[in-house]
Amino acid sequence: MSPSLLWLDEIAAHPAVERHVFVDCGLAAVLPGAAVDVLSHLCTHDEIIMRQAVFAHLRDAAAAPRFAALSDALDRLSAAHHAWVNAATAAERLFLRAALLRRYTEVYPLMLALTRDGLLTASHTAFWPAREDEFAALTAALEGITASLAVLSTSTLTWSEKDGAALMAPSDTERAISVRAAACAAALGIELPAEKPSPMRLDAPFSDAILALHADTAASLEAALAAFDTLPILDLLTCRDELYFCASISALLDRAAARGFAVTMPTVADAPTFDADALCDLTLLATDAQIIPNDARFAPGKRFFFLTGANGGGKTTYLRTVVGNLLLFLGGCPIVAARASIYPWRAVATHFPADEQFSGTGRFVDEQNRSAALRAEADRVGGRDCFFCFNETFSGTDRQKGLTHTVELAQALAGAGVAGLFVTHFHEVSEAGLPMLCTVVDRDDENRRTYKIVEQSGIGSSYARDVLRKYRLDAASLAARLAEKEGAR
Amino acid sequence: MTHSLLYAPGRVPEAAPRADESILTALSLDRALTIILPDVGERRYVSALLAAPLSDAGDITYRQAVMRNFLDHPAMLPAWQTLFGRLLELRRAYEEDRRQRISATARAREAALFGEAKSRLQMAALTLKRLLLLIGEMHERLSGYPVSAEGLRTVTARLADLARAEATAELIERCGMLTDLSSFASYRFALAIDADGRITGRTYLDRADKPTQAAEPPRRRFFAPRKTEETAPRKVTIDAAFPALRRQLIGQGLTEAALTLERICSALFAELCPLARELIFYAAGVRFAACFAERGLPTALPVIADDGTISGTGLYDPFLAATMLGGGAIIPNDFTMPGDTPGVLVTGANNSGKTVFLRSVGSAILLGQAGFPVCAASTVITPVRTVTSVFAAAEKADGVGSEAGRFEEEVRLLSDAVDRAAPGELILLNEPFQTTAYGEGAEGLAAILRYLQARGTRWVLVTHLDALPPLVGGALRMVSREDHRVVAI
Repeated sequence: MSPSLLWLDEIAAHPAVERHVFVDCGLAAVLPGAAVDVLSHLCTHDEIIMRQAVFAHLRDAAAAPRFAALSDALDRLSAAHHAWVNAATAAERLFLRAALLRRYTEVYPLMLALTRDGLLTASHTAFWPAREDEFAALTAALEGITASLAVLSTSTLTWSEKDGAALMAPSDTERAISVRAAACAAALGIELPAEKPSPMRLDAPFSDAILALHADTAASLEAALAAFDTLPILDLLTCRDELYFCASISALLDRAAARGFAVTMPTVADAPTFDADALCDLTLLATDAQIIPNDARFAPGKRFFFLTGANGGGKTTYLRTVVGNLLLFLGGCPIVAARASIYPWRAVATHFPADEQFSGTGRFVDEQNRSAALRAEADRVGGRDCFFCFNETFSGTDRQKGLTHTVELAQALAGAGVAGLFVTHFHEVSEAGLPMLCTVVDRDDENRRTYKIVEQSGIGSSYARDVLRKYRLDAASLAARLAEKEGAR
Repeated sequence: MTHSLLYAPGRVPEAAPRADESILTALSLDRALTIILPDVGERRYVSALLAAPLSDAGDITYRQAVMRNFLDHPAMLPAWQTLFGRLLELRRAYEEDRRQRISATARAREAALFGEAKSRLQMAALTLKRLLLLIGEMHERLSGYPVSAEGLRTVTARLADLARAEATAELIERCGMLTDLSSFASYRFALAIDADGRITGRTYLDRADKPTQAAEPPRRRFFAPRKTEETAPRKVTIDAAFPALRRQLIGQGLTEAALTLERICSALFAELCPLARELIFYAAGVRFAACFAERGLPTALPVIADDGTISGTGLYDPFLAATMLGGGAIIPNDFTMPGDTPGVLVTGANNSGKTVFLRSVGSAILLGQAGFPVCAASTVITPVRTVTSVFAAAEKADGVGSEAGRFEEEVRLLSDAVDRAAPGELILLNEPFQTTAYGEGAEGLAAILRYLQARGTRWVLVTHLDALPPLVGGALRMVSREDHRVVAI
C-alpha cells in the first residue's frame, strides 16, 4: 500500500456514511466535496489516533509553515503532472516531463525532511528515505536535461509561398523588428510596456520538425528522462489530496478559533459515549450568526434523547452541532468543543424530512421506510455501534399517529442500544420514558434571543414565559409598566 | 512623457479639474462664453478650466506667459493649431483604422488571419512613418516663432529632440520598408519554446538582415552530440499540415511587430495630442481679448501679488460688454481690496448696477486666476484658494416659489457655503436675505460675516441692507462712485 496520511487499510473496507447525512448536518456546505468524500468513510480506532497525530502536527505553529510549503510544492507538482498527462505532441511531452521532474526535486526534500522529523505517518517513514539515491541521480541528470531543452527551445522559422515552411537553427545575427523598434523608442524616451505573448501549443508537424532538426539531442533527452519513469509521482499526488483534506478541516477549525471558540482533540472512548463541553455548530461559522455553545451528554445510561422546544429555539442547530462534530471525530479530526470524549461509532445516520426523499409514496410512507431501514441497520451493525439522529420525523402526519410512531421508533432504537437524538415538537414524548432535552432562553444573554439546550424532564411553558418577560408583556412586567405610566402622570 | 501648456512641469493634475461651474452662471460668464465661443465642446473645456482657477502664483504666471506669447504674435497660434490639428486628424484616422482592423481580426476566419496581420503591420508602419514626418515638419515650422514662455519652449524643444534623433530616422526607414511588406517573398521568425513546451516567442525578423552562417560554433551542451558534419546548421522542411500553424504563428509574429509600432504611435499621440486640446484654452483667450478689443474695451493679464491685494481699474462685466455692439455704454469701475481687508461691502440704490459691479470683480478674479485675460484696464490679484458665490434666489432666472421657500433655499445655500468656508477662500455674496425683514437679515448676515472673518475667508457682499455696516464693525472706508457706496471693512 502506498504511504498515506489518512488510511491504514483500503478505503473500501471502511463503513460508509450516506452523503445526505453531511447535507443534513451542514458539513457539505462548509467543506469541499473532496473533504466530505474522505469523511464519509468512518475511521477505525487506530486511524483516528493516527489522524489526530497528523492534525496535531499540521496545527502546530512550528510545523505548519513546513506543511504549507509542502502543500504549495505538491500543487505545482500536480499542475505539472496534469500538463504532462495532457501533452499533445512528442516535443511537448519531453518539455513537460522535464518540468515534472523539476517539480519532483522541489517536493522530495520537503517530504524527506518531514519524514525524518517524525511529522508524517509510519507508512511515509518507511517509504521516502529509501529513495534518496534515486533523487541524487535525478538531481545530477537535470543539468544535462536542461541543457538539451535549451537546444530544442530556439529555432528560426522561414516561410514563403513558393518554398513553404522550414525550421532552422537560430541565427545569432538577426534581430526582431519589434526589438529594433523598441530600442528606437527607448532612444526617443518612449517606454513600451513589456510584452508577454500568450503561449501557443505545438502541433504535431511542428513538434516533428523540432525533433528532426535536433534529432540527436532529442534522442539523448528522451533516454535521460526515461531513466526516471518509476518516480513515485502518483504517491505524492495522493499525499497532496490527503493534505488538502487536512487543510480544509483545519481552515474550518481556524474559523472557529478566530471567533473565540475552543478546538479540541477528543479522546477516544471505550464505551458508547459522546461527552462534550461547549460544542459549536460548524455551519454557523460560515455566517455572522451568533453561536451558542452547548454540551452533549450521551452515555450508556442515557444514550438516546428526545429534544423538544419552540420553533426557532435551536433544536435543529443542536442536532447539526452533534452530528457535525461527531463526523469530524470519526474522521480523525479535531472538533469545535472545549473538551470531548467520544466513542468511535461504526454507523452514523440522520433522517431529515425532505421533499426530494419522497419516493412517490408520500412523506409518511417514506418516513416509515427510512425508519425501518435504520432499525435494520442497527440490527446488522449492532445497536451499540450506531448513532442515529432524527429531525421532526413523523411530523407530517396527524398528531396522534405521528406521536405513536415517534415514540415507538425511539423506544425501539434505544432498546437496541442505539445512541442518538430525536428532535420533535410532540411535547407528549416526555411520557415515553426516554431522557429529554429542551430549548430554554439563555439567561446569561439579556439582549438577544438566544437559547441553550438543557436536559429537563418536561418542556412545560418556560419558553413562552421567557419571551413574554423579555418584551415586558408578562404579568409582572405589565404591572410594572402600569406603575411607571401612573408615576409619570 | 508629459508636456502641458496649462500646467508647469510636475504640476499637472492627475485628473481633469472638477469644479462647480455654478460660479460661471452666477457671474454670467457662461453666457459671455456662449457669445465668444460658439462651439459647445470648446466652451465646455474652457468653462471647466475657468471654474477651477489656479491658486499658486507660479502656476498662474506659467499660463499667463503662454497666453502673452500668443497675444503678442497673432500668427503663431494659428500655426500651432494647424499643425496640432493635423496631428489629431492623423490620430483619428489611425484609431479608426485600428478599431476596424482589430474588429476584423477578431471576426476573421483562421485563413484570413495572416492577411489581416500583414495588413495591420503595414498600416502601423505607415502611420508611424507619417507621424514622425509630421513631427519633423512641426519642428521646422514652429521653431521659426520667437517663444519666451516656458510651456511653449518645452514643447518646441521636445519636437526638436524627436525630429533630430537618429532613432527617428531609423524608424522612418524601417517603417518605409515595412509598408512594402506585401511584396516580400519570404518571412523569417525567431521562435522560442518555454519550459512547458509552449511557443512563447514568434518574433518577426528584420528583412534587412539576411540569414547568415552562424558567426561562432555552436556551444557544447550536455546532451548535444559532438561536432560532426551532421551538426552543421541545417534546414528541416515542415510537412503539408503546416499551413494551419502558419496562420497562427506567422500571423501572431507579424501582429507582435505591428503591436510594437502601434504602441510607439500611441505613446507619441498620447504625448502630443493633449497639447492640441490645451490650445483651445489659449485660442479662447485670444478670441476673448479680440472680442472686447473690437468694442474698444481693454483687457489685461493681471499682475499677481502676494500681499492680499485685489484691485482693478476700468473693470467691466464681460457678459454686459459682450452683448453690446459698442463699448460706449459700458461704465467701468475701479475696485480695491487691500491685503489686510477681510471683506468688501457694496451698497447702493436699486438698479444702480451693484450686481453688475460684483460680476465685474468676480469675473476678473476668476479669469485672472485661470491665466485668462481680464476685462479691465489693469488688475492686481493675490490668488485665493477658491471663489464661491451665493446669489439671491431672486437673481436666478428659474427662481420661483413662495417667499418662505426662497428664504429657506437661500439659507440652505448659505449654510452650505459657510460649511465649506476655509482660510484663503473668497466668497461672493449678492443680496442675501432679500426676502426677510431688514433687521433680522442684517443681524443674520453680520453673524455670518463675522464667522467668515474668523475663518479667514474673504468676501465681497452686495446688499441693500443699510443697517449692516455698523453691525459688521471694524474700520470702514467709504467710497462713492456712480451712486454706489463701496465699503471696505
